[in-house]
This record gives sequence, C-alpha cells and structure tokens, in this order.
Amino acid sequence: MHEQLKEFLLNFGFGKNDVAKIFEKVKVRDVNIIKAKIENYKVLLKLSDSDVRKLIMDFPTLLSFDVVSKSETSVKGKLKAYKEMLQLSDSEIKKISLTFPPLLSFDVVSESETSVKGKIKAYKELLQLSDKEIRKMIVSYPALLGYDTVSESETSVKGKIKAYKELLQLNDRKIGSLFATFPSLLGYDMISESETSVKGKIKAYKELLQLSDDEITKMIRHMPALLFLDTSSEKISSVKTKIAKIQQMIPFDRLREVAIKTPAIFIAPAQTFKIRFMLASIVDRMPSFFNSNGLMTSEKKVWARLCHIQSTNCEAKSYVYQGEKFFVNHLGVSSEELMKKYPLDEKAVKKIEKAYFEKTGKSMALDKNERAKLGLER
Amino acid sequence: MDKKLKNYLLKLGFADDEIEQLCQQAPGLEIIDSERAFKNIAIVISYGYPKVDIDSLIFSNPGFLCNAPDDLDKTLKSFDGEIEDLLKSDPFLI
Repeated sequence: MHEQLKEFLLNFGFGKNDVAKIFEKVKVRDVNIIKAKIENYKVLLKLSDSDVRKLIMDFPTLLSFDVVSKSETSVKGKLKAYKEMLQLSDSEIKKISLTFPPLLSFDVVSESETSVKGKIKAYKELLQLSDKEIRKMIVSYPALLGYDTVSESETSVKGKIKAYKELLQLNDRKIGSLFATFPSLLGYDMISESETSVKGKIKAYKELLQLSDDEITKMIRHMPALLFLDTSSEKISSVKTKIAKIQQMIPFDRLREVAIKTPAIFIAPAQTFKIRFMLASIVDRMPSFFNSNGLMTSEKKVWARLCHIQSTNCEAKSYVYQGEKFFVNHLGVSSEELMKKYPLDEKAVKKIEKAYFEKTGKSMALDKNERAKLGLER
Repeated sequence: MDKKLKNYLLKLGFADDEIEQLCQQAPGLEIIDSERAFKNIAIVISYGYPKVDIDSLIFSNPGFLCNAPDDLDKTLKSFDGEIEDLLKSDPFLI
C-alpha cells in the first residue's frame, strides 16, 4: 500500500522530499483514496496538475479531509459557503485557495468569534469597512482569515491596528482605508526590530535618510507602500541602492528633502533614475524628476517627445511631461508614433549624455545595469 | 508566478529581484492567471492610461493586476477626470 502510494505520488510529479512530507502529515495510505481526493480537488477548484501539487505541498493535511461529501464541513461545503458569503467567482475561489490553502480547513459558517463568519464580522467592525471592501481585502490577501481577530495581544489584529494607529497617527476611518488598500500590512511583524519588521524598516529609513520621527511618520502615511520595500539589502530594488543612485545626482540634503516630499521616488525603478534625471535637466523641468508624474512617465516617451518638440522648433518643452490627451491635442501626434521615430537607442543615450554635460558642465554616463534596463548593450 | 506573466514583466524590463518585490507587495501575483493580469492592463489602457507608461504603474501598484476585472472596470468608470493624471498622482486609486 505504502509503495503503491509512493509510486503514484512520484508519477504525479511530487519530488521525493514532497512525498516524505506528505507521509509525515497524512496517515491515509490507500492509493485509491488519495487519487480520488486529488482528482476531486482538481475538479472542485478547477486546478491543473501543477496547481494541485502546489496546493498539497503548501498544506498536505488537505489529503486527510472530507473533500466532497454533502456535509457543510467538507471542503465542497466550505467552498460553497465561501462563495455565498463573499460573492466569489470560481477563479477567485481558486486564487484564495491556492494563496492560502489553510482556509479550506477553517470553520466557515458557525457563529463563533473564531469562525470565518465571525472574523469577517470583526474586520467590518474594527476597520469600519463595507462588505465590498472586506471582500476585496480577503480576495487580495486571504491570510487575513487566519489571523486572531478576538484577543487584544500585540500579535492579534486588534493589537496591530492599535500599533499602526499610534505609529502613523491615524484615526479610525483612515486606518480602515489603509488596510483596505494594503491588507498585507496586517501580516507584518509589529513587535520585533528585525530587518523585515515594521519597526526595523522605520529604523532603517530614519538612519538612511536622517529623519525625525515626524518626518518618517509623514512619509509612510503618504506612501504606506514604503513598508513593503527592502531596506536592508544591496539588491537593485532596495532602498539603499536607490539612495546611492540618487546621491550620484543630487546632494544628500536635497535627496532628504525630496524623499520627505515625494516618497514615491522609492517605488520607482532605480535603473532609470539617471536617464530620467538627465532628461529632466535637459528639458529644464528638474522638478518633474521629483514628482510622481515625472517618475511614472516612460523615459523613452520623454525622449521621443523632446526630439519632436526640438525638431519642430516649437516652444513647448514643458509639454514633454503632460498627459497623452493634452499632448496629442496640442501637438497633433501621439507619443507611440514619436517613439517609433525617435527610439531611445545607443545614439540617443550619447546625445542625452552630451546635452546634459553642455547644460550642467557635469558629466554623467549610464552604467551597465542602467543600459541593460534600456535594452542597450555596450 | 504564471510563466507568461513573468515573461511579460521581464520583457517590460523588470529585474528578478524587482519581480520578487512586486510579489511581496501583491502576494496574489504568485497565483493569478496571466489572463487576468493582461485583462486588467487592457482595461486600464482602454480608459486612457498610456501603454508606454504601464511599467511604472505596475511597479508602483502591482496589486491592480490581481483585481477582479469587472471591479476594476467599475472603479475606473467611477472616476472623474483624466485617468492618466489621476493614476500618476495616486497609483493606489485602483
């Protein structure tokens, strides 16, 4: 029985370690029962073989559950209850199950405070959100259904809401809207000072940018996504790398000022900072580099628009950073057309570097990674 | 992450560790079908957000790729003003 099951699981695509993990967590050894359960999960959740492998490896105990009986405690019964309670489509049911498989083990419908029904009620009350907002939160971050919404401990939802309120000085309505947009913040460690905890990240921002408590609070309130960023490593997307890149262009004091005013600068890709900065300097629109509009407008588009404006001798350099509708209405040509005509290629980069030097008297050149980001090769 | 979605992000110029960061910000990205993400991108573009700037929107708020397309459509329909200006000043409106 044991060998037959092992062979079936290996043939189904599980690795040797996976099979050992399954055997440790699941007592059933009848291959036909396991085969039927796997097939039932595939049908119920519309899963591919690789999906079902992921589901089971994330939560092997699923293979011990009653999957398809008519009872409301079977997986089928729970899925029906989730669907009705949260108005979920089949693809949303699949998504939340794969993201957080333990929810298939929860008490969904009882009136207890610890049931899914009780937790949804608690989130609504604690965060003062509508059914629609709660539904969206759970679909985007289903692990919420695994959190303690009852106790007042520091690691519970109540404890974390209290901590975020104090930390960011937010009122009830604002705290609700914070978690409606970023539900995964409720999963963050609010107690320790490890590099990945909220306290650890705040400490890192304060040290890296020499910020006061008020300044970091203001920045995070303005851009809570800062808490998702890597503040400790030296990776390309880390805050440290971005600060180092920006410091190649502006002095630290100015960087500090920009970061407080436009924290969005840290959620822009670091490898495009330099080319955007040079372009903004050439256009005479330096502030555009430091506002969210400038940071979210493709450097390829800015270059193509600038070339067009220069070629037509019109005095409309400031149009470079305008919205597409405005640009087309005033200049009669779309940015996509211009980007075909004026690609940001090797020749263009050389022109930009030269123009930047002529304008500022300072030389700046793209490094290997920055060139790679633009699809260029030295 | 769905292979097609990962390839699309790589093609847009995202580095591997940037993709990792996107998944940390929007855990649903690991699970969703690429079709949903592409549908959401098409919806945002259909409301006037420039296709060429879509990488910055994904970088700022990857969560919108995981939205239910019907909900995203309704949200965008409810906005007054230019979608491009609105989303560039606050990418988390969706």
